[in-house]
Amino acid sequence: MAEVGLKGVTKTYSGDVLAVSDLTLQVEHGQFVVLLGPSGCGKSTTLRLIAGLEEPDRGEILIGGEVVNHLPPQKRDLAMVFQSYALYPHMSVAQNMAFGLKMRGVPTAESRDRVRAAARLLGLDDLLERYPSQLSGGQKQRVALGRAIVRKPAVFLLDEPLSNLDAQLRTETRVELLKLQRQLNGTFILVTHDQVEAMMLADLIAVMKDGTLQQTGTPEEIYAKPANLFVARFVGSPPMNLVPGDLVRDNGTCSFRGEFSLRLPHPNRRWRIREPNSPIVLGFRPEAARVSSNGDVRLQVELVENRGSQKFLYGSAKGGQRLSVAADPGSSVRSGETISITIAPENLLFFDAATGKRICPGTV
Amino acid sequence: MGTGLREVPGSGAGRTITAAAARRRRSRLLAILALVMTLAILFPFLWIVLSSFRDPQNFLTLDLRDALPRSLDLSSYRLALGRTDLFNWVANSLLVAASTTVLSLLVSAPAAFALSRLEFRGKSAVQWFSMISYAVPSIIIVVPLFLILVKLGLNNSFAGLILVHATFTIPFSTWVLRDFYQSIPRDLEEAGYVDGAGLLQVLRHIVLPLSIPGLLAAGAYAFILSWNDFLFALVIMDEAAAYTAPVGVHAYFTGRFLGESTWAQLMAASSIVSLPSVLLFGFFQRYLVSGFLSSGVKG
Repeated sequence: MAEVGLKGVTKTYSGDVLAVSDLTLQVEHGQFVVLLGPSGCGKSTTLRLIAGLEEPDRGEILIGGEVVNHLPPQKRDLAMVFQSYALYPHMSVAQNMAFGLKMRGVPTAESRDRVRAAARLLGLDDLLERYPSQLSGGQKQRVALGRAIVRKPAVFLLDEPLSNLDAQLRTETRVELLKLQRQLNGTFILVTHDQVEAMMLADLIAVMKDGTLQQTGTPEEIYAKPANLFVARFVGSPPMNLVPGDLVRDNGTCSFRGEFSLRLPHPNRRWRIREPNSPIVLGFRPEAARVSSNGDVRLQVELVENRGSQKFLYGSAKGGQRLSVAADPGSSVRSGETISITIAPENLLFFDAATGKRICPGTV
Repeated sequence: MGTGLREVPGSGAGRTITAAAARRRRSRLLAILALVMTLAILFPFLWIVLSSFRDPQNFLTLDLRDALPRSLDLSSYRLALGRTDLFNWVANSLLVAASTTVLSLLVSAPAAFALSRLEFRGKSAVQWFSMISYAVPSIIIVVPLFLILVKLGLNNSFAGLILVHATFTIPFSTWVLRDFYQSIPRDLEEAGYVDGAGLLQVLRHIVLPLSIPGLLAAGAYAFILSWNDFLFALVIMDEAAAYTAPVGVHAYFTGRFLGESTWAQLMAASSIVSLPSVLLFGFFQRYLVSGFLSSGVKG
């Protein structure tokens, strides 16, 4: 079993730069976990802490239930794919892949067999004698993966392994990576700033910001129920529409009043107001709104983004509030037009304007 | 009023062509400048080599037609080798230069790795002191170094001379290698650790093979500096049998009547003495450039 646990892990650099703060995370055996966040959020440091390339200031790191804080990387049963691939330039592909086996004293014949098997799995059979400088980016990436899988480690750590690939290759490699993880039934921990990659690959996403964990959850949970404004903004493209305002009760009905007003249905059941007129932020995904002839909000369309399978309309509501709305691929709306949109009330989210935390329906 | 198309001077294609021509002109000018500089640097060496093959009887004429030897006259070489102890001096120089090189690399390679990869107290002081040694002219420290060697009983010994040479080559080699190591991505070493290698294995299998150009550059520098040293070898070595090549050549020809024949022998001896460092530079020129360049870029 190769579950990975982080308990209250803190890491600072140069004494005062906080890289990871009190991080607690549990990764189960065979799970594909993605650490997601912007640059400098501490996700790569977290991976390096698990790898043993950094030592935590506080907290415990467990692999297979055992505390490994003071074990050097070579004594932890894991493999790592670096963002730069870190292929040894003076070794051939075969030598690169066999290096870890050689260091662990695996007999040459067995090492050769395992390298061949991994090369077959990754389509590297014809490249075994080549040197890294003779490989394309995609091939280097596969060699880096091959070097990791050939050792059959308990845990695979991947630090932005797809960021150097072009868009098409990245999409293809995501599928390959997912297949590989299922095939090996390994515990994979991947670091990325690409939320599309995270949504596609992860069983569990851990969103980080400024060294702290913002939310862990399945891709669906992270997307549909972001824990706070940061997660709401960071996940989703286009990002979630966020409108500051107040919830007010008026003659038995409940409404949102901000740059635009929105009447909320069923005031007694869902939209109980905890503190009347308390400032909140209303959130809704672009696809929670649709173009309608007699909608809640009027929108001056400034840009139409055609993604082929879907269109997104970007514009300003009354008061200058910027919104984005999903539209059918066949939509004929053009920039410059004024449209009206309807927002599905069941998809509305509310965040506390002061803390940024999401407020659960029923407690608003 | 005419409305036809007119080319605006200095715009579009016209400007591109002018820029390209200016670039070509600049690179031609640079090439000529480099050629002139190279000839100016090479001239004395060329003169020495050509003179060594000249007929010793007309050595001192300044007629350019005599400058180019009409036939390959090796008599100066025969005389120089026959009358002096040149083979022995060259062997001494080889011993001193090779030992200095090995000692410098043995000390500077790990020191440079530590400076480039580890954080420790006094690191910046070490770097500062290693550089400051270059700010002091050699002549100033000749006497103190000689006195230290006398105290240690190492004056007039190869070991003493090697140690003195190493005091100059180690800081420079450390500096070159430190910058070279910094140009090696840390990811490679970390990949080695994750792959199961310990520090020594990472050094042996990853860092060492990748630092060969840097080691060759630092080694060649140490060898050439030690080989060419005159001042310290002159002060430290007393016995003629222990002279290094530059000191030996100097000692033999100093005080003699420098007739035409002796001049030619001096040129022949100088050519022989220069040969090893020229050959070494020729062989390792590629590494020297890449080694120093990497240190330059990063430093």
